[in-house]
Amino acid sequence: MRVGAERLRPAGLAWRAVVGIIVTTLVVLGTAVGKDEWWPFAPMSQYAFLVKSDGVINSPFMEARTADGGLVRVPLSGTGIGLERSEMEGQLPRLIREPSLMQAIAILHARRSPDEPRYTEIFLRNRQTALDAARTQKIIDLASWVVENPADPQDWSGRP
Amino acid sequence: MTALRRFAFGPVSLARIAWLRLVIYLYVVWDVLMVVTDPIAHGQVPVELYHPVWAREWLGFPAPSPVYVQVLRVVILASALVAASGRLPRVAGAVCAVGMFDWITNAFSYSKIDHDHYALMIALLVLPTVRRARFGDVGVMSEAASWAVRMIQVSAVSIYFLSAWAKMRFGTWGWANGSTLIWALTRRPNGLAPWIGSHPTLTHVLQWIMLVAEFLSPALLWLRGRALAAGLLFFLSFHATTYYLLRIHFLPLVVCLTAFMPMERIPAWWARRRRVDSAHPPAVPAAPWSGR
Repeated sequence: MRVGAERLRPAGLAWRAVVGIIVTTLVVLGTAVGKDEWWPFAPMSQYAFLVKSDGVINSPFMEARTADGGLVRVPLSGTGIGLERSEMEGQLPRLIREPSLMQAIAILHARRSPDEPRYTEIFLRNRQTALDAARTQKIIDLASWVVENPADPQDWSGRP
Repeated sequence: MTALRRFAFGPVSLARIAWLRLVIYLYVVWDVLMVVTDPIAHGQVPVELYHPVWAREWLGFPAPSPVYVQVLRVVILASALVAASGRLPRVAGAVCAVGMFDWITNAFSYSKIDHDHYALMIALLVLPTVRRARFGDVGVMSEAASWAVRMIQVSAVSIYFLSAWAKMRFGTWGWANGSTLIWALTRRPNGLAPWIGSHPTLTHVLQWIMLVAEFLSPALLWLRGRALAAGLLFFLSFHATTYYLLRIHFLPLVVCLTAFMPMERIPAWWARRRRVDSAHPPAVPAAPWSGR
């Protein structure tokens, strides 16, 4: 068995010390004052928000009217529509402000499930559960979008 | 200065790096195939919903397209398998680090960040800074290995400690007495989750335990021996519990906790065990475990 001590040269020590200090400082700053776009130095904010004990639990979801008249749940997952529910939630303010972004959901559906009836209208809704004893629920409409050119949603007036 | 040098460069066996490469690069294979699979689907997502993290823009990574993400995955898998074998540690490791940076920032560029990948990313960036390591290099004490191991350890601890800090920043000091855990248990229930969720006092106790443990986590950097093992066991059981209740695992962080474990001693321990076994063949009938 080989034994020995491998020491670093001063330059090797120096750059490693500097990198270590910079990386550690950045990651601390990320949580202290940063935001998600700073990743890998984003705030470690999963589950860091406060849910008041007398508050509500919001579970946003999407539904779609299809070309054959049915109302279906949009499968928000990586294997379903290709976008996670949490990713949709992260964009919730944008989607409410600009419902036309939901055209992208119709495009994504047409790309990933070409054999299913196309989406003609998309609804963004929130199931709100009150943290009272009865856990009463209500559904709130947040936004909706009438899909342009549902047969081929990629071909629409707002195309980038 | 001496204390700082001992902290960051204190002796670590080069063999620890061989073990870490095996564990972490094999985990990368699992990660891109089973855990962070959304980049493949993101190849089809219209660019309107692409909201890149800044590092991705600065480094010039493009918006994902279907072919791009498939090629990227093949590059990551190939480089990770080579690096796991211990061969070409600098080249294969660097390719894997850049590839994974592209892959993970893709996953995080649609408005959802999972902070469990931070330590893994740091591990992938520091492992190529150490020369080729073999499992037999137990007796080779290396300052380069020590720095890499310390960086991985500090990153893992940062995740815990800064999660507690973020709870104070975003959730305020009322976080531990709030209903965040009930929220999580309601949205992703599994096993005993509904029962726990219906007992608010219990959820408050669990939240306090979580918060205090996260704030105390830097102790892992100084603990030794059984105390360190106990600390690691606590966090491992914490992850096992959240997986059982919420189906949320923190595997990318868990694999980085192996940087705290003296894995390089496994072969010697195993050899000793086998010698003992052959010197003292078990009596028939075998003695019960409690009798040893």
